[in-house]
Amino acid sequence: MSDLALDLSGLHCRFGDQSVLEDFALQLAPGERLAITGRSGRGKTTLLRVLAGLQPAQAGTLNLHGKLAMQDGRQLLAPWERSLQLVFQDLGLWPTRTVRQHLLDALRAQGLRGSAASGRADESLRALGIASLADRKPARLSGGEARRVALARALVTHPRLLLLDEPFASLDATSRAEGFALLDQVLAATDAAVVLVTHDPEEATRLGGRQLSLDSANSPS
Amino acid sequence: MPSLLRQARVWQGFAALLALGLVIGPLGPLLAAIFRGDAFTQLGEARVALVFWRSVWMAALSAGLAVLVGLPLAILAHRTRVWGAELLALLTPLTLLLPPLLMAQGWNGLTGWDGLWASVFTLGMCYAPLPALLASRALAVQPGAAHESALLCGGRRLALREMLTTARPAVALGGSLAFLFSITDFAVPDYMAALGDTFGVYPGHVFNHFRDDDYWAGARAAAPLILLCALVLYLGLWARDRWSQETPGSGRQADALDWGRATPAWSLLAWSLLGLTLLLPLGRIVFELGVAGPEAPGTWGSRASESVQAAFDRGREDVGRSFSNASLAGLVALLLAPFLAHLLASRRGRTARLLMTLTALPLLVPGVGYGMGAIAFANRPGWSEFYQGTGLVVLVYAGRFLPIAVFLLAERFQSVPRSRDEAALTLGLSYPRRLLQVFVTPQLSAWLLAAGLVVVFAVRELDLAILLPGANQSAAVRYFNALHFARDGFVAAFGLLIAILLFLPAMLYAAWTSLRRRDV
Amino acid sequence: MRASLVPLLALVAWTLPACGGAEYDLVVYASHDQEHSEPIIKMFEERTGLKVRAQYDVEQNKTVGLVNRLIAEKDAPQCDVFWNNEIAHTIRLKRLGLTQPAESEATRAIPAEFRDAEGHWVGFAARARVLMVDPKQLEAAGTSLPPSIWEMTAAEYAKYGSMAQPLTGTTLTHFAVLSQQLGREQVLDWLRASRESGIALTNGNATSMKRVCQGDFPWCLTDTDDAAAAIANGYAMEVVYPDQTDAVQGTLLIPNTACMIAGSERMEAAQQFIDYLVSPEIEEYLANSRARQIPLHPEAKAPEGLQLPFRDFAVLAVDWEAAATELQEVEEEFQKIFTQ
Repeated sequence: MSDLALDLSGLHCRFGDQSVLEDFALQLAPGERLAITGRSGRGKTTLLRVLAGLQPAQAGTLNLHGKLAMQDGRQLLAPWERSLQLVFQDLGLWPTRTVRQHLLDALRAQGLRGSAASGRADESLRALGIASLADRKPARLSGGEARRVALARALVTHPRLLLLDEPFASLDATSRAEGFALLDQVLAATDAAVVLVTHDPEEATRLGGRQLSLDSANSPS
Repeated sequence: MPSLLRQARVWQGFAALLALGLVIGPLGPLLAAIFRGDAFTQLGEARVALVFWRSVWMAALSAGLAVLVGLPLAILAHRTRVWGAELLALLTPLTLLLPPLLMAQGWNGLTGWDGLWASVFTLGMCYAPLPALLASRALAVQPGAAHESALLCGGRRLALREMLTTARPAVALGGSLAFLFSITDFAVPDYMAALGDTFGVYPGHVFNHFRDDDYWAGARAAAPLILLCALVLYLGLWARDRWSQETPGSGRQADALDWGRATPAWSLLAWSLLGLTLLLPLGRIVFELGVAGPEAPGTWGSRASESVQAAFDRGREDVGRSFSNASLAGLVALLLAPFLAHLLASRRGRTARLLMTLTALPLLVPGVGYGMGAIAFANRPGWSEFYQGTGLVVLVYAGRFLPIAVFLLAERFQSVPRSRDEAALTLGLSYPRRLLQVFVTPQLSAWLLAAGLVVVFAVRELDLAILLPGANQSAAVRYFNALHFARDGFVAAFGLLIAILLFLPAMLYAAWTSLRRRDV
Repeated sequence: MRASLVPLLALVAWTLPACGGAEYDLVVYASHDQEHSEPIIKMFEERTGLKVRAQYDVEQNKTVGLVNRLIAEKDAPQCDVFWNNEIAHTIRLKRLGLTQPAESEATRAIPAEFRDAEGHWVGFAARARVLMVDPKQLEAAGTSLPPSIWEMTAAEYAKYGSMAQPLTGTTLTHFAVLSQQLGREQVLDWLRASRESGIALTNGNATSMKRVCQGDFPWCLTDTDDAAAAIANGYAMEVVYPDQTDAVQGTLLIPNTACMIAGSERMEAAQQFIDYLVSPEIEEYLANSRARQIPLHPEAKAPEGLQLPFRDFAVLAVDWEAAATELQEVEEEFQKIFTQ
């Protein structure tokens, strides 16, 4: 039984005739940080979705924190049973929920209610500097604020593995600087293992951990 | 167990089972007829084959006409600055609330047209709102950048071409729906054939067989029509999928096209098209309110007033019952449709098309056959109270019209960004909560509209109203009873009363969504 | 979200009372004009204190209707009395074993030719198959009326008239009767020829009547109730009873019929209702209504101007049982001629 945060082997992913990931393997120790880079279409997002249990694969075995999550490409654990969170490239905020409700919903799903949940939500909101936005809905948030909310929602559940899908893509220079500061904040706030996928080498470096390029390894040329 | 309840497939499966339970009784024997080999041998008979193929090309022409009128109407009303565009958009669907036979009478009264071509024309006008409605929805989400770049590169001509391309998938589906409704309509061809040159259509063949004592004779006669309808719907969905393309965009919606000095001409065209689909026949119906022979006492106004009064006095309770039954059916749809719509929206390609075609089956079968199936299923010793009561009516109506709600919601659910659902999934929100929070609540108006459409179709339904005990004392039965006994003024007044009441929720919905837009 | 639940709850509150079941003392299926049948049924309720569940029919828009519902319900009958506005389908129901005898002093007051020998059905308030004429149009066209319906398709008459296709309703019954009396082949040949004759073939008597009112033709073959409706709507029409010469047999009368459904558990109330329907009072009510139904009860008083059978015009004698058999056999042949 492995005690790795993530132990993936023999992953094959194909869309129709096009192979996206071939015999891909990846290990990650608890608390370790990994930045995966690569051009568009190299399978970065697909990899995260497979890790999160959001899509099956043609082949591959995945263990998460010692639990078998995928075998022969078939997902065995539901996404919510994996102790991980994914921050989506387009954030995936819910238009009818306020910022605070986003966090409370996440906590309620984990069985935490009442004052305990409120306290923890407020703590997360403060940690990410969005306490003043608690009653706003996504339509009334700026891009940067929405990004913080997505991160807060992911972190409030104290995941053991955090997956970040190009969190600062398509931001201007000033916003990217803010984004990096936010990433530092996030990394300081969690002891979770982190996988960040990006096409930006600077972002990868900023994560401060191991780096892996899908342009060179385990991907079709 | 809690983990099981988080599974989408458990809830969707349960909802699908419930929906199947609603329709299996009425639908089962009709579908079984399709699999009996002899159902299709009747097409080998020259007379039957003749009316079958005549029905096919007539319906194809009606559908073509519906697209020719509906598509320009949608573009002009929803995406260009013509006079009264908002009112045009609001009035376009109203035609669907009026029984096609009433429209046929209106057109015949206005023009004197009859025979086969008048039938093709009337059905084309009756169902033009279907491609118009679907196209308007597609045009509403055309990215602003795509529209503006077309305008910059090639002016209005290119912008219009881009609109046509954007609307094409929706029009394919709308056209196939117009075909389905046209080919299953018997009242209009029968009426027009009786006035002019005689011709038969296939629904007449089906109707004649359902009058036999042998239920199977009707079911067998209906089988080729059901199969053809299913095939056409599948092809419509296929064309929609094939022509659909993801257009990258900022999410900003395209602006309405300004016609400049040509605005009066285009406005005239737009209102003329609405005149064809609605205003002219409706005007004739209003005229019928007080029409009488030269020796009738009173004026047009006094007779019209009497007709309206009679419609209100005699029809009030029936209208109340109809709306009450239909509303309960709408409520069932409100509860079940989101689960089934999500199931459809989460599938792609052939699986989705097959699922949608299967889901549509209760709508594709003749109402008479559906009602007879319901009787065979529910009229049994010991079930009398259930059979006589409103419960059966609600369940049968809900089963028959649920596909409308499911289709509408599935189309809206497909536009919800996948990440919203996946965020909820990874966080572990329960499935009902996920469905409500990610899909239903943000599409609340569509959810209510879906149930509203079920109400509209249930109020309009005639065959089931005659056949189901709990539904008999209804607006539809009183309306067609009066039509048969030639009470023209009452028919016109009562038809308008029902149409206004059906239209009222649509108006309230439009006002409400407009207010919500302002809120945001 | 919570606010949006309010209209939902209101909807439930409004619609739930409709779910409550109700107890009835009698279930009546009525295919007569709802405007007349409804007050007659209500009057019965007021007088007897019995609660009646009435179900109404529609022939327009091509539905199957209450007769097929009665057949479909045969394993667990729900209806006690069927009030049919014609006769052929009532006999069909009898043959299918769906009716039971319901004789009484009241039903025996109706002339024997309008009731079943075994007491399964009784006729009342009839319609006659007549020519409705617009005298002004007729004069303008410089033509005359066909003296017999057989001559309607003759070259000198056909292009001035209209009749319904014999596929449903009283026209189907009418031609089935003629087929039974005069020979099937003769009638089929006549109908085939009618398609080419120039006579306007419509989908129903009401349509024929309306076309005459609109000025499309000077006359049409229709029922007296349709002609009465045209006159009530202010059109100056005349009603002519065809086949009144010595050479032909008389005008066809098609009565309303009432029958008790086999398996009825409320036989007493059912008999009470049938007796009520065939009473002189109801016959007079229907004779005075817009439909101007022709009373069959000898004691019923006809309103002024309403012509009475035997007294004012000759009636075609019909063996209804044989006619019903013929109808079942020729119906498909008729369809083959007109559904093409």
